[in-house]
Amino acid sequence: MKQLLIRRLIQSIPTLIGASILVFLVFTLAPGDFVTQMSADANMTQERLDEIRALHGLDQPLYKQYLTWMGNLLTGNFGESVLHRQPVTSVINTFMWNSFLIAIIVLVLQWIIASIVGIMAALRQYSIYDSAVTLIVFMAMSFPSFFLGLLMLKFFAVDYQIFPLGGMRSTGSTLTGWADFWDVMKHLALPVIVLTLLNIGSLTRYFRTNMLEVIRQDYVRTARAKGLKERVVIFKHALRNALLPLITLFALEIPGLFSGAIITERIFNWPGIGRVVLDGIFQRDYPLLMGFTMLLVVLTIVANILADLMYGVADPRVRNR
Amino acid sequence: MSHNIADVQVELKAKKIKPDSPWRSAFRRLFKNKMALAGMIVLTLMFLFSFIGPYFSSHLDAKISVRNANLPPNETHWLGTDKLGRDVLLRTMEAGRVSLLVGIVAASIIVLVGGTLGAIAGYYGRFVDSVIMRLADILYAIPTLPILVALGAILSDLKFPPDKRIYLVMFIVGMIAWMSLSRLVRSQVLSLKEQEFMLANEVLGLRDRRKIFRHLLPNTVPIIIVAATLGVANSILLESTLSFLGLGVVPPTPSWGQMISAANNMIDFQNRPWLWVPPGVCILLTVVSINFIGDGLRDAFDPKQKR
Repeated sequence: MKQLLIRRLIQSIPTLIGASILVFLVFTLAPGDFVTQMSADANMTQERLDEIRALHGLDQPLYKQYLTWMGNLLTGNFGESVLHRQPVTSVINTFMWNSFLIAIIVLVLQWIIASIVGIMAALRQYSIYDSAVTLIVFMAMSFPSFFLGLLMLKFFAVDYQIFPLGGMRSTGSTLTGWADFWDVMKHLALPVIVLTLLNIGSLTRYFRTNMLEVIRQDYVRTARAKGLKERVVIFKHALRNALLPLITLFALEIPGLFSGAIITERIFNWPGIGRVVLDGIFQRDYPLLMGFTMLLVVLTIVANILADLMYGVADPRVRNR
Repeated sequence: MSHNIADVQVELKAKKIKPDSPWRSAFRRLFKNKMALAGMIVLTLMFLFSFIGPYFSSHLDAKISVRNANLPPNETHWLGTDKLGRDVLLRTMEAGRVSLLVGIVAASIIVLVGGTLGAIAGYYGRFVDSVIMRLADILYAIPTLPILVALGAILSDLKFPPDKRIYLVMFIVGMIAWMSLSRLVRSQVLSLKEQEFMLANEVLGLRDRRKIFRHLLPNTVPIIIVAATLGVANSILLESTLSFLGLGVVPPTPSWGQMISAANNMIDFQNRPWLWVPPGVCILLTVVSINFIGDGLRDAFDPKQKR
């Protein structure tokens, strides 16, 4: 176990370095930086611009810039966001938790609904219910996120004004306590519904496929032959084994909790990290983008390692291999 | 029973029953799959709509006229007109050409890059394998959407003319998604490499290139076809997202996602749904049908793994 962990950690170092070089190159070689945008200002002299560039180390050769950037990252210094005039870490910290709030609710809803629907579909394979679930699942998987968001917004917020049009709180809200909580919940409902619908498809299919696979195993037949109640067979013998491969999937969802939803947050005007990143892209706030991307890279790598380890813990067959 | 083998063989010959080739039986299974069949029909209609449809439109030669701008659906303009007075139905058809084309080309890039790299990694193993698979790992670790949007913004900064820009969008969308196919092909090649026909190839003294492209890759065609099908759907979604944000295909070239970006304008979004609902429905129909076909193909090629 420990050996596996150490091996995976060492393996992930080249991946991390490679990804950081790639991220660095994409944003550094991009034409223009925030200084170029300043040059539109007529009061700016070329000397002043050069001065600012030198101040930010932009006149150094590429590899030196990379090493400085990487060194700063390792000490937790992500640089300063140009757009927000604050350290990148504090910008991320401010907005990430708004995204996290939505993501965690979506995660819980999605796993509960997908498990119930998927398992029911597997137990009634080829029934009308099963076909209907398959159809709906495919629809949900094929919806462009922005189109579903727009349709929901149009229907529930414009045509029938059940939910607010966007944002996190009503404008100028001074509510506190429960009233404030309720206000946030109302604003949160639509993005949560949209994201749950978008994510639920593949998970439901995983549940269904895994359950179908397990149900055909010999030990399930044995359990039935022993005369166990169907409920016990399904929930104790079958379900537990069907859940095994899904542990990996669960671990891989961790980065998604922090990444924000660029499109959905934009449509519902939710003050999350996804929207901030999108604004950052339009405003060429490269320090913010680089810091955020690297954070996600690290989270993805960690989640992958975690997935492997958790699977090993849960399934002795893998552990002993 | 007095039936002997000879009789049965005579019977078989009389009925002209040939043992099915794997391909033929796969396609038979595919056509039996109702969802996949429905998907194929809808997709064919979508192609006809986009590529042949415009020729039946009476607005093909219509000039931009602000007088006809923003008309709701009526008898001459079935889906209304946009802010420049263009017929939305015709525009949806023309946008379909671009969106479908982007999907197909991007999927071809996925197949070309992912298939080749996967086969090379699996065949040569060792150093080559680690380099290619590390590269795949790296690209996997970078979040897709932020980097895609950032690349789109860079395209805007480089000020490519709209007609050239489509090709770059295709290329970017393809290059961002080849990794999973390369992993699949690699693992398939790893197991194929150990089989006897490869030993025979060794004995025949074939060149590596011939072994990889003529003997290994053809055996991975089923996975490649499935991946390519789903790749088309995925690429159409990615392109539409990018264009919706105004960073993919840019005007005057239409694409479905770019048409939906009209909804970014509050008035168009609230009061003129004919501008953005039709292209959205088109994307949905196309992607659903492709996903059904892909799923049907996977089942057809792999009858053992019955669902």
